[in-house]
Amino acid sequence: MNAGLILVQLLNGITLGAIYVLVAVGLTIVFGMLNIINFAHGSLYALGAYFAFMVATVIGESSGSFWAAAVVAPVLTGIFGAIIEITLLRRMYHELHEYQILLTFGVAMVLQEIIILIWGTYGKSIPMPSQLDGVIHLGLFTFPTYRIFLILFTAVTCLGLWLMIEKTKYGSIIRAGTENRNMVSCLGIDINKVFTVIFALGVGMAGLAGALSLPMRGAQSAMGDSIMLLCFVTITIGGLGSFTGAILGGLIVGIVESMMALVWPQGGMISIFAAMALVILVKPTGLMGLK
Amino acid sequence: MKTGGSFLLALLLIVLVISFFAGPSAAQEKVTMAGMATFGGAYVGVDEINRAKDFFLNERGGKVFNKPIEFIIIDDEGKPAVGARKVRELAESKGARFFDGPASSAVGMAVSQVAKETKSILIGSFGADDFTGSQCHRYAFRWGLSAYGAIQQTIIPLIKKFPAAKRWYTITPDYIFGHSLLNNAKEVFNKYGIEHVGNDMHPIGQTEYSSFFNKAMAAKADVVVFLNFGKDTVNSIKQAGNFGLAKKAKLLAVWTQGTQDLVEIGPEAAEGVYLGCQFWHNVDFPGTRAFVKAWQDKYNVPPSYPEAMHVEQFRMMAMGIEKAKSLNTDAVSKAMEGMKWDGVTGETSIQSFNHETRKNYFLLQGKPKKEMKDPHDMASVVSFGSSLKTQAESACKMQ
Amino acid sequence: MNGSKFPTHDALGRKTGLIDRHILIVSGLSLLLYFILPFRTLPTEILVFALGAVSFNILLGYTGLLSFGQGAFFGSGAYTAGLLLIHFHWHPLLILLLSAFLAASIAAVIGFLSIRQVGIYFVMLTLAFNQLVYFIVYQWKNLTGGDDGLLNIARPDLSVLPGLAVPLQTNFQFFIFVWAIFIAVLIVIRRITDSPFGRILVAIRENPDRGRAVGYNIFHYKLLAFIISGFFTGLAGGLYTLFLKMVPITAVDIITSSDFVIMSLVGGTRSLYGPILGAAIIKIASEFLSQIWSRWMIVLGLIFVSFVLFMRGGLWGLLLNLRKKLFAPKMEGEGRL
Repeated sequence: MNAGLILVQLLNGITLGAIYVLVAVGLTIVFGMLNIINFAHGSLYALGAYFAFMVATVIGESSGSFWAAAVVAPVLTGIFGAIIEITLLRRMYHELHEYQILLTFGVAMVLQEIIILIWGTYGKSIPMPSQLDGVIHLGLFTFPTYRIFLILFTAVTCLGLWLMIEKTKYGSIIRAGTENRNMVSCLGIDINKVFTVIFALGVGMAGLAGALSLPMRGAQSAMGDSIMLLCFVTITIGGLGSFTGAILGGLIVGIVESMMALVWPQGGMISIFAAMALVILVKPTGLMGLK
Repeated sequence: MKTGGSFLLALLLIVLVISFFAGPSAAQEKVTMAGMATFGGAYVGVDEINRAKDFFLNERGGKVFNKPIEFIIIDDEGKPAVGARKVRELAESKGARFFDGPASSAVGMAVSQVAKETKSILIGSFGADDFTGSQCHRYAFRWGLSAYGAIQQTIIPLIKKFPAAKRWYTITPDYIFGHSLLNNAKEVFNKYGIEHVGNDMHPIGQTEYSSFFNKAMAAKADVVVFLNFGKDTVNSIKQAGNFGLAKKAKLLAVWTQGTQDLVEIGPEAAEGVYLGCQFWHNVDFPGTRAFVKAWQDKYNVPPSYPEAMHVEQFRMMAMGIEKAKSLNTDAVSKAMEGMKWDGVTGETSIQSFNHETRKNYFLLQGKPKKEMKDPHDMASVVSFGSSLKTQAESACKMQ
Repeated sequence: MNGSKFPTHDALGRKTGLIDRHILIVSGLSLLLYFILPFRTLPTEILVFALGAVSFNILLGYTGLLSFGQGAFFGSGAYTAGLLLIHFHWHPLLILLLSAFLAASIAAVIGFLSIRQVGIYFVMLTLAFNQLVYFIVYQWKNLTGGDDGLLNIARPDLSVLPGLAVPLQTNFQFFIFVWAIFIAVLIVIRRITDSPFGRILVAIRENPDRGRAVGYNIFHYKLLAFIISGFFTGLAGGLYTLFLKMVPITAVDIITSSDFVIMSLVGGTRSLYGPILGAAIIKIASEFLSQIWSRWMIVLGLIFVSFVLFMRGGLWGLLLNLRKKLFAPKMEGEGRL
């Protein structure tokens, strides 16, 4: 076991973590602010990947196609999410968790099948964007440039999102709305619109994650399933509703997964879920949760 | 207390109405053939079997042994519990006795158990050696080469092609099929003096293979062998492409689905990678050419491995029935032993002692994009052949 | 409500025996399943899952605990039965009992750890435990067969006296066996839920603080509910193994857990019998739909969505409403827990 191997594994873990962070941030924002558990979040991640595929294929083989897809796909996913929110979820905010789960579970099933209906059963992929197609050399090892980009991009996106929520006026409306929706309504702000935007934002993050993982892993109709479970672990460890928690949780899950592959590959999942159980038992609100 | 009666009677009505539409199956003079596939999820394969079914029924005029064919396709959901129960259901309530097997070894072994109990012919190409090895029975037939044959036809040619490559690394899915491949690979490594520098087990559905590449690179492997299947192989090779692994070591995927996997992997990542496959559309056997032409006339694209597999297996069942001139599965089983014909992979014959089929397995190499003459010309054939265990080597003791 | 003095009364204080009209009708209908449906194996599977769903609903419908980890108990029961059947040739009833006890023990542990959490944390914790059990089973290949599961398990006949055994080999024979156990278990569960214990569970669900104020140890009641639910879920798991003659790893996975949740919600959680309806409808619909359309899961998903939007009380609630409309004002406040 040499230092180089450990380093690349760490980098791998952070890359994995980056994807989890993007998806989990979306999930935790929605839970923290709207108090809704969205079991369809994983399938929206898949939808983002497929939207990206669609955009990239429509534009065709050109150096800009991936970038266009990476911008358009999250927006499309967000719009789709907004539609779901308005038609279905709006009335679910005060319902029991089991009904939220059944509803979003049903939506997830329908979405997965619609993906197959539109795009068929074969998986889809697009080539790496030419600017990022390469590896950096670390001694014996290689590490794809694309994954470095992914890490940086995620960091920038999270920073941007955090800034927007903490520092802008619209962000403060969002924060206020989650603390006291009635008061915000009284101030003349359409709280329903705020909630729709929040949901679209959360879902858009998942779509972004899907689009970004498309060149790396391709798109398959069932790709949302495994990500969904891991994201539950992530936000539980980090703290339900906590933005920084999602970041921390995602990195932890990614790194544990990656480092366990060095030592005991099959033990990766056991460790992750054991960690999840442990966090809930010891500090249910999560590492970054309040109290 | 009058609570129960009325509305539970309403429920009874609902149940009756639903089952009215299904109706009992009348005992007609027909042959019920069945196939199973996964309709959704990660290992979906329903479109292929449906196309194969249509092709097969078309070329037979919907009949075998002068009786109309009732063809049922069930969703095994990729789960042994579902596949086994539905096969038993078809056998018992519809009298189906001819089954085309699933893609998954886990489902296949469970279904084989049911086939034995219900005396139903089962033809499968899933990899687990036990199917025609320690768990063989007279109703089980295998078309595709087993794990043993796949390893022999891919690893040995590469050993001979690259005599300097002594350090081999394996990546294995942690279930019965993966173990079969790994055990066979280890035997070959021992026999040819190859240094097996490392192995990684991964659960099925693994999405991240980067760690394994890193370990292979740390072990200074000359060849990295992927012993996984389907989506896992696609992900492995794609990611290997991202990591530029093909520049550091030779890559071999022992068990692929041919065009289907190549399309998903993409030409960039597939270039130079060695791939084993049960079927390739671009080889010069009369059986292959005839089949590919007929398929292409109907569907405008060449057939993929799963489609070829289904068609061939359906044909085997039909041939067996007509040779036996009977629907009795004991008779059909006897008739199929020793059967010879020009199959979709060349000359094909069925061994009597363990019901394995002698057919060709192909070692391919991914072509660079600029060399592809058409979108499906994704690989060139490196070698092909057949390797089956002899009776002495086999664990099959059939009665 | 003088609970302790009248142990066999329903929610309105009316005397009920062991076997009442409800049980008779459910018995009759479930028996009829085998004859009405054009399937030989589906009816048995329906009863096994119905049992699992009813056991789950002790936690959700009665105690208000959304346990997302029933697969751990179902699977434990299934694997116990499988291993016992492979290594020993004991009486099937004994094997079922042992499977149930093991599952109950695991439920005790998981319950003990989980109950202190509330709301979404409870749900997540049960989910985490389920996944832990799943991956341990997956890894422990020597014992459980890992992903391949346990195959080639023989189904013994039911020996009654030395030399005399009831055969269980054909579909019909085994169906009757499962049906008999199903009805027996249903009667027992009904006694439990109609008893003071059951009503306290409901009280805890409605208002735990008040329950505490009156002096009930909420924790103990919830834990007992877990153990009871785990016991019968494990029993269902053991039946599943006898049914399939194998133990698939899916018996212990999260999808099985969610199956029970969905079946209960669709059938109606506010009744003992609701989950039976849910199990039947979902299993039957899945079987028919998968024969018609390869994208049949869309329909299932749409069914779930419609249930949440329009039929929160599940099928049971729907039927109750129908009955109210047809036989209007006589029934007031009936059929509620």
